[in-house]
Amino acid sequence: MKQHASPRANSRTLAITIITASAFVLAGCVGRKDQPELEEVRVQLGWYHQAQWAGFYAAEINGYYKAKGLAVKLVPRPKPSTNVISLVSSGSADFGTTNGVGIIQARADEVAITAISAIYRRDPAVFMTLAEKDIRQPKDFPGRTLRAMNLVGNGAVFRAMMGHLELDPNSVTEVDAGYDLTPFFEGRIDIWPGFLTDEVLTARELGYELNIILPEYYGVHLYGMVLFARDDLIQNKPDLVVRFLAATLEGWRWAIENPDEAAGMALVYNPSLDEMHELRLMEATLPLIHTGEDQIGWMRRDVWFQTYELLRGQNVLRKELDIEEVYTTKFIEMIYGAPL
Amino acid sequence: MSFARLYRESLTLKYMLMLLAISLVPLIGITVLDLGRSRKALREITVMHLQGVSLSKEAQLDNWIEEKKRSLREFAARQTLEYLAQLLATEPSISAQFKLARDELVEPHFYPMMDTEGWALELFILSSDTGEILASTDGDHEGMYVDWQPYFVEGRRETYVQNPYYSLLLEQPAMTMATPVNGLDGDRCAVLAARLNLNEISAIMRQGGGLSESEESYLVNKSNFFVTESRFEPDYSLRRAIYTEGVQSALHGKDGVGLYEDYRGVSVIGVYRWLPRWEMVILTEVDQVEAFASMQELRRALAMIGLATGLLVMLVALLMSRAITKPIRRLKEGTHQVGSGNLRYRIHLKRSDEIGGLASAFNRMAENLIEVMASRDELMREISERERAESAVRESKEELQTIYDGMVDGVLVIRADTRQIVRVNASLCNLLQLEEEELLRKSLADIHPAEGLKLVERMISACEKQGQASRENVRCSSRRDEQVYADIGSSLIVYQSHRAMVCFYRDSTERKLYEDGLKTMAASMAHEIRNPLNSIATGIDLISRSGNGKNERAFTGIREESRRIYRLLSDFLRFSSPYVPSIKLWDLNHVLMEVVSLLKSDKQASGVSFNTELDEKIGHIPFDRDKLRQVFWNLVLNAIYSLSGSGAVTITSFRGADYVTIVVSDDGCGIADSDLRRIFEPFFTTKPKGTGLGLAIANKIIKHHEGTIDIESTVGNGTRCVVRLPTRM
Repeated sequence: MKQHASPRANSRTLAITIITASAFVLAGCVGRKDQPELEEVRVQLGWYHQAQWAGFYAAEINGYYKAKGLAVKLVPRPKPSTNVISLVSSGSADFGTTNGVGIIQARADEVAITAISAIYRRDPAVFMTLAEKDIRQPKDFPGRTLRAMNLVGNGAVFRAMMGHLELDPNSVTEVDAGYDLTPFFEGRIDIWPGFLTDEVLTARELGYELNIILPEYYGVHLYGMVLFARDDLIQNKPDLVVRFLAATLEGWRWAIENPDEAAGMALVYNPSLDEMHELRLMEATLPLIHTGEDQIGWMRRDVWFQTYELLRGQNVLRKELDIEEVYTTKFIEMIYGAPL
Repeated sequence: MSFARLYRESLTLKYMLMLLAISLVPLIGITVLDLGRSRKALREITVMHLQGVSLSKEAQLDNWIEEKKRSLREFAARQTLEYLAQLLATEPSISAQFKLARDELVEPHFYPMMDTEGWALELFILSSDTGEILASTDGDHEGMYVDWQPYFVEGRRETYVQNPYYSLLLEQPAMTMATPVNGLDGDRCAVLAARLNLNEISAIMRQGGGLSESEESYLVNKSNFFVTESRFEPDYSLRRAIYTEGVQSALHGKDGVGLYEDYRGVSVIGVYRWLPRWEMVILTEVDQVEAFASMQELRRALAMIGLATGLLVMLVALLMSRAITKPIRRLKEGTHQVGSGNLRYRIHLKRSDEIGGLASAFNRMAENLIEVMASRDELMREISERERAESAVRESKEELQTIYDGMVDGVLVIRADTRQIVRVNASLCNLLQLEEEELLRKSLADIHPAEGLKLVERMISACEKQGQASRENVRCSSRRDEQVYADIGSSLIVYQSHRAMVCFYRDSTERKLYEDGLKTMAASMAHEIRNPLNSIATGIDLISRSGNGKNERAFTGIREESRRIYRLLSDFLRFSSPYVPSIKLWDLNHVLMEVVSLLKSDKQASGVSFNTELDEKIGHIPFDRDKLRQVFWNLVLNAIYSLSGSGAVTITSFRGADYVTIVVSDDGCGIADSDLRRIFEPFFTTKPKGTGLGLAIANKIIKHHEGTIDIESTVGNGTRCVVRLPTRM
C-alpha cells in the first residue's frame, strides 16, 4: 500500500475497525455473562504449523483450552534461525517447545525457564543413509561424508554418539549444505541428519530405502520435544500452568485416539499443507509421544540426567547444573497423580 | 383418522381397550417382576463366568511367562553359552575370537532355540557393563546400546520381564525379558535377552473363549494402552489408548464388575482386575446383548403370551361389542337413509329389548315423516308454480317497461274518476321539463294553460265515452314558459283496477310554430293581393261598361279569372286565419235545408235530384252556424260536382245518444283510393277550378267542434261523407 491512502480507503478502514471493535466489545459483553473472561496464553511452537502439533490443535479446536478458561494463541516459529527459548524468556510467549538439549543449555546460560512435560519422549533427530550404501551403524561412518550440523544441537548429539562408540568425529567429513535433500539422494552426501517427522518421511515418500541410525541406541538419551514455561509463570500462576498442561495433554490424548482427524486439523492452521503428508507425519509422530510405558507427557529423571551428562561430556555447558532444576514433574503429577 | 378420534367415535374400540387393560395389566405386572428377577440371576451367572475366565487367563498368562522365564534361565545356564558369553564379554569386538564366539553362539545355539521352540522373535546377548548388544539373531542390532532399557538394568540382577513397549527401532510393539549370564568363573559377565512374541499373549487372551460370540479378554497397561490385540479391531496393541469405566476403575486400584460401554461403544458386562505383578489390567467382557440373550427369549415368550392373550381378549370384546354396535349401526344407517330422503326405509330387528323399542319408534317416526313430507311437497309445488307465474309477469313487465322507457312519445296515465295523474314516462318529463315526482303531484290544469286545458279535457271526456280520442297541437305548460305544443292521442284503459286514460304526447311544437309562421305569411300575402285585385276587377268592370261591346270576350275572361283568384284568396284566408268558433245552440236541420235550397239553384245542379231525410229529434245543438253552413256547403257542392250534371245527392241526419250524425252521399264518379287518402290535405283537388281548400277547411271546423268527418268512396259507385257532431259541449 502506498504511504498516502485515499480518504475513501481511510474511511473504509475506519468503518471496518469500528465494526470489528464493536463486535469484539459485544462478544465480550455476551461472553462475560456466561462465563469468566478467558485468560490469554501464547504458545511459541518450535516449528511452522504442521501435524507435528496436532495435540495443541485438538486442544484448541475441540475447546479443551476454552473449557479451562484459556484463550490460547499458537505461534509458529518465525524462521528456522529464531531462538524459541528467548521468545519465551523475553515474555513474548508464555510457553514454548524445544528439545531436552535446548532446555539444559538454556539453564546453563541462566535463562529462567523450566520443562514441565515431555511431549516427544523419543528424539526424532536421527541420521539417515541410503540403504544401498550399507551404512547401518555409526561404526560405518568413518571416511563418509555428513551434512554439516550446528555445533550445539545436533552437533553435540553427533559427537556424543561418536564419543560413546569411541569413534573419532573428525573421521567423518562434514559438508555444508542447506535443507535441500538433492545431494543426499544423488549420493554426494552419505549421512544426513534429519527428523523422523520430516526428512525421513520425505525421503520415504519419494521411495528411497533408508537405514535409520537412532542415537538413543548409541548412548544418547534426550527428550525430543519438551514443553517449557517461564519460571515466573510457574511460581506466580501454577494454576494457569496446570490448566494449560491438562488441556494440552487432553488434546494429545485425543490426537492419538483420532490420528486421521488430528492430522486434518493442521490444515486449519496452514491450508497449503498436503493432507496425505500430514497423515504420515502424524503416524510417524505417535510412537514418539506414547512409548507404551508411561502416560503421555511423562518425564523421567534418568533421561534428563543422561542428556545432561552427554552435554557435560562435550564441554558445551557454561556451568554445572543440578538436574532437578531443569525440569519439574509437579504439574504432570497434579494431573495424573503420582506414578503407580 | 387419529386414534383419539377413533376412540371417541368407536364403541367397539372402547370396549376392546377396557377388556385388554383388565387382562393385560396383571400379565405385565408379573412379567416385569419376573424379568427383573431373571435379569439379576442372569447377570450373576454371567459375572461368575467372566470372573472364572479372568482368573483362568491370569493363570495362563502367569504360566506362560513363568515358562518363558524358566526356559530362558535354563538356556542361560548352559555351559557352552556361559563360555561363549564370557568370551564375547572379554574379547574386543574386532578380534577373531570375538567373531568366532559370536558365530558359535548365534548359529548353533540361538537359532535352534528360537525356531524349534518358537518362543522368541529375537535372541541376543548384552554386555553387562555397557548394555551393548554383543550378538544377536538380528545382526543389524549388534553394536547397539540398550543400556537405558529396563530389561537390561533389571536383567543384570535377575530374570526380568519388561512390560510391552513400542520399539522405535523395530517400529512395532515389543516385549523383552532378560536374565543374567555368569561366566565359567561364576561371575556375571553378560545378559541374555529374548524378545517375545506379543501375539502369543494375545492368543492366550483369545483362546478358550469359544463359549460365546462376544466374550473378550484383553490386557491394558498402566498408560491406558492396549497390550494385546483387540478381538474386534486390528493393530490396537500399544497403538490405542482405552479409557473405559473398567480400565479407569482398575487403574485406580478398584477391581470389580460393571455394566458399561467398552472401547467400541458397545454395552458390555465386564470384569476388571489390576495385575500388580505385570502392572497391567486384565479385562474380560461380554456384550450385554449376548449375556442377556436368554432374557430376550424369555421376553419374547412373554410377549407372545401377551400378544395371544391380547388377541383373544380383542376377539371376545369384538364379538360382545358387536351384539350392541350392530343394531346401533343399523339404526345409524336408517337415520342416514331417512335423512337423505329414503322415507320408505324401515329397520327390522327381532328384538324386544330397549334397542328393539328404539327401532319401532324409528319406524313410526319415518311413517309420520311421509305424511308431513306429502303436504309439504304440495305446498312446495304451489309455491314454485306461483314463482314461475310471477317471474313470467315480471319478465313481461320488464319487457314493457323497456319499451315504455324507450318511447319517444310522452306517456301520461290519468284516472278517469279522480282525474289524478298516476303515471308518466321519461319522455313526458323531458317534454314538460319536470321531474317525475313533480309531475305526479300535478293536475292537468298545471300542465296545460287555459287554451290547451279545454281541448285536453274535452278529449279526455270523448275518450272516456268513445274509448279513443286525439287532439293536435295542444298547448302545454313548460317550466320555462316556452311555447310547447303536442299532438295528443288517448285510449281508455284499466290501470291498477281503475278506469284510466293513457295519453300519448307527441311534441309538435316545431311543426306548430312553422305552420303558424307560414299561415301568417300566407295570410298577409293573400290580403295584400286580394285588395288590389278587387280594385283591378272593379276597374276592368268600369272599362268594359264604357267600351261599347268591344273586346267583350277579353273583359269577360279577365273578370272571371279575377273573381276566381279573389275567391281562392278568400278561401285561403279563411283556412289560414286563426279560428275562434262562435258556438251557440242552432237548429242543425234548418242549416242543412238552407244549404240544399241554395245549391239547388246552382247551374251545375240542374240535372241533380236532392233527397233529404232529416231526423226531427235533433233539434238545437251547439255549433258555429256560419262555419257549419260552410262545411255542408262544401260537402254538398262536392257531391254535385261529382255527378257531372245528372244523379242524386242524399242528405240524412239522425240523432244518437251523444252525437248527431249527418251523411251527405251521392252516386257519382267516386274517388280513387289514392286520392281518398289525401282528401283532407290543403290545396289537394281533383277539380279543374277547385282551390283544394274546401275539405281541409271543413275538417278543421269539425275538429274544432270536437266532431269527426269521414269520407268513404268507391270509384263508380259514389261517395259518402259522414259528419258526427257532439250534442253537448
